[in-house]
Amino acid sequence: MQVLNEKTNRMPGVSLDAENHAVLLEGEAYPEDVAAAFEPLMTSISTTLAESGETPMTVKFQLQYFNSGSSRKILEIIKMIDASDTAHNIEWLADPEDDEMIDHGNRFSRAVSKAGFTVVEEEL
Amino acid sequence: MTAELDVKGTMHGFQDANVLISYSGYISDQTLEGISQGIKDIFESGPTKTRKSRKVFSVFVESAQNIIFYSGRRMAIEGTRDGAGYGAIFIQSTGKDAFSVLSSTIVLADKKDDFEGRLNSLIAMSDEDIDAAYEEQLMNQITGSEKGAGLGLFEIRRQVKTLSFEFEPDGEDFMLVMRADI
Repeated sequence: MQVLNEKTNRMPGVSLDAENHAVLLEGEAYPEDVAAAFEPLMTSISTTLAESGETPMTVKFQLQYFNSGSSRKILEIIKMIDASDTAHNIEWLADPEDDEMIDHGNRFSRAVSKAGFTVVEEEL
Repeated sequence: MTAELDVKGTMHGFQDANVLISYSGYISDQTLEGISQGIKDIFESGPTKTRKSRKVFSVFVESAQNIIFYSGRRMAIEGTRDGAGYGAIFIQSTGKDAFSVLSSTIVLADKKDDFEGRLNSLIAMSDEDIDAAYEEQLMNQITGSEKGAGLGLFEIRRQVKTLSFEFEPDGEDFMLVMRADI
């Protein structure tokens, strides 16, 4: 795994698993300045998807918590993935006991039209 | 003239009301970060461990950011975007696995009606209505502030059993006290 953005207490990290054509966004999100905090993550994901060419990538979201301001940016990332020329896949990972995160996944799944979107329930 | 602060009485009051966490004064983003870590320690381990820790945490973060971003009484802090907002926030144990997050902040007189209207509208919604309205707000970016204005109140309402509030005159402005029962 190649770390593209370091994880902090209040922002998820982004890692690239080039061998498996996967990007993992993992952690919590409740920064002070949402726009500034998410910009480098969006740039990393956007660049990675562009460099993948026609190879579909799987972008995995493994989030433990995010605040209301961050939810807008997460939606922006999902729409950005959906807008790619290549049909990528999104996996929304949630603990089976975390109803809130499962609901968020189902909600975000309704925002995509081209990308695959799967809510994956697994013990985290 | 500065009034004498009754520390003992305040402390006894907090203890009698089963207050687990309290903070009052100017709240900055750094304050939020510190208390957030403390909340995780308290609600994710030890005798106060609860499956509701995420809800308590979520309501705390949204309430604290409400104070930091929108309090009518503010202090600029060098090197920060928003500085600090004046307010108070308490987490109280109200029974077996039951908690309340109480928060208070100053709302400027010209913002009071808007705030009051939004809170009344959220309180009037059923759980199903609030989920649908939240999704509409999120998907359509209806309350289009980068700070999440509006959506934060939706998030608080979604997480709680009951939400109540009152405004009290505070000079020319108002003190908002909000109670979120989880």
